[in-house]
Order: sequence, then C-alpha cells, then structure tokens
Amino acid sequence: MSASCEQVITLAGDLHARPAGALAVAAGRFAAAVSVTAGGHTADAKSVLGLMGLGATSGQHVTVSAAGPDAREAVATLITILTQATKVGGLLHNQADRCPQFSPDARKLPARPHGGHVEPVHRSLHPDRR
Amino acid sequence: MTAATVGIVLVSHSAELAAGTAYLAAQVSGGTVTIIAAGGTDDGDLGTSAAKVVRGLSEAESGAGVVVLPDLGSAVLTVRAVLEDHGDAESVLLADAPFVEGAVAATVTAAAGGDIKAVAAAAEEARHVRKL
Repeated sequence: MSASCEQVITLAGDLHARPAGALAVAAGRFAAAVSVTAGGHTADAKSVLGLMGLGATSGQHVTVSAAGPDAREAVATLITILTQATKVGGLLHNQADRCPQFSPDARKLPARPHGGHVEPVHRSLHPDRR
Repeated sequence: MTAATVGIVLVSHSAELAAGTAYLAAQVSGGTVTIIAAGGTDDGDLGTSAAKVVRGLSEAESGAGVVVLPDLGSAVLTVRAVLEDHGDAESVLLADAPFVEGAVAATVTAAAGGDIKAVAAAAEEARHVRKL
C-alpha cells in the first residue's frame, strides 16, 4: 500500500553538514521517496549534497514529504532528526501535518484529491534517485 | 540492505587531503563506514602509492565491496594498475567523481545500506549537485 505524508517544522539552527548527513543516512533506509523543501527548493532527502545545497537556515520553514509504503515512518524519523540536530522549535501541528495516521481526528481530515501524492516540487536534484 | 557495509578508499596525492576527507566523510555519515585514506607516496611525498591502494582495498573490504575515489587523474593510473593485478571487477568500483563531495555522498549512501553500485552512483552524481 502506498501512502504520502508531509510535515513542516521551523528550523532553530542552520542545516549544516552533520545534520544533513544524519538525515540522508536515515532517509536512505526507507523505501519511500523522501524529499525536503526549504526556501522554495526541494532536495531528495537521500542526497546529503542536495540537502546541504538547500542552504536551509535558522527560522526557515522546512517541509519533509514522503511517498511510499513507509512514508509515515520516514517523515516521523526525519522530523525527529531535524528537531534534535538543529534544535528546532515546535512543530507546526494542525497547520501542516498531513499525515492522517498521526492525527487523532484522522477521519475528519479532508480526503487527498488523488489518493495521496507529494506536493509538486520546485526543483528536484535527483529525480531518478530512489 | 545487507549486513556488510560497502567500504570506501580515498586515493589522493596528499596524505593530509586523503586523511582530512576521510575524517569529514566519517563525521557527516555517522562513523559507521570503513573509510581508508590512501594518500601520498610510500615515503610521504606528494603522489600516489600502489602499495597503499592495495592495503586500502584489503582493509576496506568487509564483504559488500569497495568504492575507490581518486583525487586527480593520475591517481586513476595507480588505481587501475592495482586493479589489473589484484582487482576483482565486481567487488571494486572506481568512481569518477569530485573528491570531497563524492567521498561524502558515497559514505552517506554506504551508511544507509546502499550496495556497491548505489554507493558508486552517489559519488558520481555528486558532480551534478550545485552548492550555490
């Protein structure tokens, strides 16, 4: 079964090399396609160089999106790493949490228009990477 | 994902460059991948050493294969000479990649459990990733 999931956080620190590495190592262990969007650019979360190339800095909103069988776990794992590695402030719950499985009121959420898909990306660094 | 992790050998004309790049890649990838620095000549000058490459290939191999990154073209000559004598074409891949970026990308992919082809591909894709 395929699923999609997306969450937004606000960075409290810059996305430097080691947090980017931790994100990419974790993302690479999931079957789902995982991407990170910041400042209008999107990178494959499995590409450490792509993540560093985002130049994401403190105060920016960062979106973690995933599509695939383990999308929910992938987003939860990457959000946790982002939170720990960059000392992020609070999650923007309710505003941007698009993981129905994580919501106590999942049945009240509007249905995804096409059975679930990742938001359009602005720039894909590795469209063919899986 | 296999239990064994792909190993990385960094072949540089400079011992310091190889060691520094290995340290950087280890820090970024979490320290779970075997990265061998094979830099400089046998007597410590700038250049490459077939003996160091042979040793590096042996030390980096843990059952999942080894990806080798050369820093400059002439390091490729040394690596190819070694592979002709000692290499197993399936267990060693020579990656055509920018040295620092390729080492970091390859090591992160190895740490995530990527196989030898995925690790080599990650290194080679590094040339297409903009940093600005």
